[in-house]
Amino acid sequence: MTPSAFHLVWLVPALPLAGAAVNLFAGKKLGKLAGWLASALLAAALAISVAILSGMLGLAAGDRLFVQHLFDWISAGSFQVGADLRIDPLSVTMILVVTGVGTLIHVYAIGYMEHDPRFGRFFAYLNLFAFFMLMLVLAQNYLLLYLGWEGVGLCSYLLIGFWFERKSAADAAKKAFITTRIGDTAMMVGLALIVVKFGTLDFSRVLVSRGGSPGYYPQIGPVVSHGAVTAIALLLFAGAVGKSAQVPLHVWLPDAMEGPTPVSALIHAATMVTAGVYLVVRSHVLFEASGTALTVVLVIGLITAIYAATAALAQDDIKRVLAYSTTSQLGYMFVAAGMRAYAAAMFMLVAHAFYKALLFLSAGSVIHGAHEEQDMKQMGGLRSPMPLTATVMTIGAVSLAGIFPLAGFFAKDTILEIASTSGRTSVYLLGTFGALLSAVYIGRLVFLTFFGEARSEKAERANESPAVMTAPLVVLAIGAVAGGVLATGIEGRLPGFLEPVVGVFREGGAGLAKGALIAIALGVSVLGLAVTWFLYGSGKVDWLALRVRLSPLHRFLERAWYVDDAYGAWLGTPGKAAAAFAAYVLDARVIDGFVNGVGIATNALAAAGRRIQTGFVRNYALAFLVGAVGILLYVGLKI
Amino acid sequence: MSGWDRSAITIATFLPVAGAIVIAAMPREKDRLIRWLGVLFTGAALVVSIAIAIAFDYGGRGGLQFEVDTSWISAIGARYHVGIDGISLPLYVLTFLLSFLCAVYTVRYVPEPGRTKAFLGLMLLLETGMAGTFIAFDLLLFFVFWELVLVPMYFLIGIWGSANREYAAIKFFLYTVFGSVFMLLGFLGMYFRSDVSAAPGFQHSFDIVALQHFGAAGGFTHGFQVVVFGAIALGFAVKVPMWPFHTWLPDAHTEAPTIGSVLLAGVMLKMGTYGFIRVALPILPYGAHKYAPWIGLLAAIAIVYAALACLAQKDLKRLIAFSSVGHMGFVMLGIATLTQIGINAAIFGMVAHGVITGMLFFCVGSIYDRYHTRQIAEIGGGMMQNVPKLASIFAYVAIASLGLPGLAGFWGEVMALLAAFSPASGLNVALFRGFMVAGGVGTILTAGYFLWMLQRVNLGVLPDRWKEHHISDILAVEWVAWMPLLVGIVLLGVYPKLVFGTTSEAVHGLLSALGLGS
Repeated sequence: MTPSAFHLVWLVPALPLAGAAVNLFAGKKLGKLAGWLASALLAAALAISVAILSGMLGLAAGDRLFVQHLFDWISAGSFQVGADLRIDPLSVTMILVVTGVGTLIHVYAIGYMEHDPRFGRFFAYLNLFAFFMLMLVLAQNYLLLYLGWEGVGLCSYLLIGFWFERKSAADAAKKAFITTRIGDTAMMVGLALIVVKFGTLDFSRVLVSRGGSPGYYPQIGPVVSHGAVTAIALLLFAGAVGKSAQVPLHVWLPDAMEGPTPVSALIHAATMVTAGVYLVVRSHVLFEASGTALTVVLVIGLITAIYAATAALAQDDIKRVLAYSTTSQLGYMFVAAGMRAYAAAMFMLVAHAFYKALLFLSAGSVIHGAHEEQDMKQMGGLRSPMPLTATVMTIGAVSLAGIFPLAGFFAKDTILEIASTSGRTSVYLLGTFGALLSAVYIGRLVFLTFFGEARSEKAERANESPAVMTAPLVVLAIGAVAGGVLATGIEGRLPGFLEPVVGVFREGGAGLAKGALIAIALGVSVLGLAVTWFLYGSGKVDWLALRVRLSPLHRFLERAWYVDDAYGAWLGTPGKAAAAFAAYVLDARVIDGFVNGVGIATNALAAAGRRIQTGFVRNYALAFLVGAVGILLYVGLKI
Repeated sequence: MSGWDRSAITIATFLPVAGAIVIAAMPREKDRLIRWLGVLFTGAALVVSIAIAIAFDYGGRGGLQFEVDTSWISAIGARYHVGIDGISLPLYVLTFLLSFLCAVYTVRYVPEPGRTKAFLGLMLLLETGMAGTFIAFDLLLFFVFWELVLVPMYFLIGIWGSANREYAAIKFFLYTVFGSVFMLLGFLGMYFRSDVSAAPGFQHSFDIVALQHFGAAGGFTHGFQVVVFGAIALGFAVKVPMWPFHTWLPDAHTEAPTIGSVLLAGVMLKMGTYGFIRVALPILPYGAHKYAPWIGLLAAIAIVYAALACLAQKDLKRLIAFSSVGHMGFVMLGIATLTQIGINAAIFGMVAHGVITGMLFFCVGSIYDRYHTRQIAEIGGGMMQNVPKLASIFAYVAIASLGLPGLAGFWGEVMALLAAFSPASGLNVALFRGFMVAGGVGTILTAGYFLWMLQRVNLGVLPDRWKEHHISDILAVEWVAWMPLLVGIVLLGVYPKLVFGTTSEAVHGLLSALGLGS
């Protein structure tokens, strides 16, 4: 018996879509109501999601799958795709995060965007984003997923460039769209390969478990060669690399901070950027069948986790610290997925959604309260004018740093524990090093922002944000504290819930004892925070002078290892040259030059031809004679 | 067969000519009346074409419907053979839709130097020529319709165009005629080599259906097919236009009046790609196989090349024109795969491009009408502040054009790439996968140039020089003329079955006849 709430699943994306339509066409007339309408519709979607969850919990673990067929979407030749929505523990987890965190951020944005002249437009885009994101996670086939995938990219573009009067915002929006499209195109090739090899894009026939772990996937379907599966998995992962801002396609995310802060929190921390993780977890059957692809996921994730953490150390813009942090944390999620610890990846995804949204929204509150100041050099001492923001942001930071018993601790600790016990010592060591860096950059953020003396006139005049902004912060803070109950370790509730989809993590037995691992993890976090307190909080170190002394290193980290600059020099400049060459040399001169040349030559020929027609009989007679002699000669010689 | 079945497509196709005659009889001073007569006749033709689409039997296994086959030029056995199938239908309706919207637009906008009567009369002639091309099943009739299009368009560009109009008009005319000559020679070759008795007393035939059967049965020798396919492909390729025969297009578009560009991009280019599907492929299957890799290569080049050229354009209209070259590249790539998915994708791509690029040219026309410049640098950005509705529509259509899923532009491109991944048997798979990669790179570059264009035109702050000008946002007539296209873009994107449901059977039938129906 299917719970009745399951049949309402189409409403989950439809409600925000309706909100987007209303706000797009009538947002101006609605005024302030636009924000409340958008929030209410997403809250209603949240309510349905909760009803679906409770209906699902009433079912046996093996029955927790439901597919709703909306309509036949496309059929051309043998190629058929339906518009089908899928409910299973994985998609339910995702829609709860999207609608839950999404609703809070919508409410917050009512306050944050209060004075914006395009208030209605903003909520139209925000709701449209929620629609596409929900389609992405509810899709039952790769094509519908791709629709959501590109749709969230569009909304990301529109929202990063929301303040399009600023050139930097327009630039950042364009960069985000194009960079992610590189990955998306590879992903599309992957989709084509799936169609060719499997004859379908439907999850129920592509994601057929071939190993031992029992899944929802029926044991049918064609056998695909190892090479093809690896190619498919890697191409899909290329899409994930773009969307989740992993090395080498990470460059768009820091710039994306040009968007309004609620956008950064919702799209560039809690939901859209995690779509890549979702994709890998959803497609884990393919990645496992390949094996090689899993290793690639692990390596890319690990490189990104550490690289981005180093870059976060040297940013002065409060939001850029959080952006690099997000990239780094997403790296950890891929590390987990690469170790087949999908539940751990998903747990980190959920926990991160809470504490990173909290951090971003707190940063927004700081920026709002400090009169649009984003440079931490100009802040300091903000804890006295904005005590509530300071408290909740510190909670978020401590959670991210991995202090027991906050959600972030369990998230990170689980991943590192798995690395150790599965015998991946180098992953464990590097991951732990990354954890140290995380504690340092987030501690630096807190101390520079809230402690010490106000370092600018704006910081002196700072004041606390209104309740509509701080209330969501408090809710998120509770989530960041209590989220840990979902997954205390490998056997927690979320892993149990997800087990029918992703199986159980089985490797173990190696590495250090659990107690030792927890002690080390905590020790590293405390050490990191202590170091930053000494550098930035104690007042004993002149950190500005230190920065000057370490200038080359600081610049190197601040510019994120000059990767972006290198792309500009190696791709941007030659690309522009190639375009100019194509348009103004090849097209205008060579191809069209040839066309016009034919015209000119024809004219010239005609002019020359006209001169032959002199009108004098003697000239014609001479030509006639020459011709006749020629013919006679030819005939004579031939004979 | 009822009278409606026998006469419907003839009525729809020739209603515009009747309109042109009526308008010609009107006194020049009745300017308003003439404009409304244009709306009336294009509207009536549209209504008939929609009635045809409604009456069309979609389960009809791809056969010809509304067929008429009577004697025409009996001396050479050329016949008035017209009909409609799932491949023709979407393009046929698109022709009437775009023509009607152009007539609506003309109620307000008649370009310099005025002369509404001649302007509308030529547009109506053009409409009949375009519509006729999509229903003709006799090569000579096809050729007559094909050439009928040329003259009105020549004058539309040459008289109502902008500064460099004469050069563009002559270039357009000569280039197309150059292609047509080869095409005609090819047609004559097929006629004389054909050995069918489609009409009593004739051994040879111009009949496309008869020639298809003859060709599919291996009636034409391989050597003949290679030569003749090359000739008619040249004629079609100029029209598409395929790289490197495209250079007439940016000039023609840049100089043409708005509705000239809309119809040129929206319908006329499709005559070329339609010709490949209707004439070249089914009659000369061996030739198609031999040329497919080369067509694919030129298509792949067109996609990347056009995108690069777009990145460097400074003129807004020229940019859109070049983007057409790239989009038609995707269409040709689909055709070159000789697969069901590819040809379905091609037809979808044609319709989508007609709707999207037609709309883009409307937008550019309206921008020019307000700013009196097409130079991106002179417009200088800030349209989103200044004329937010126009800017939003422009952005929406541009994003559709770059192939976002959920909007019309996506399906043609993605399915063409999908088809290139596994082309018809006998074609070099690795080569076509290379084309696919090129197409993929093209989609990235396409996103690049469109977003950059939007940034330079829409975004940023309004330059001071425009602040004292009063620039109005969208007018009522524009809403009316554009709304069907704006809705169509999202409708085709969300429910692609609108086109695929029509074409699928016909394409299946076409390819089965070639032995490629798998």
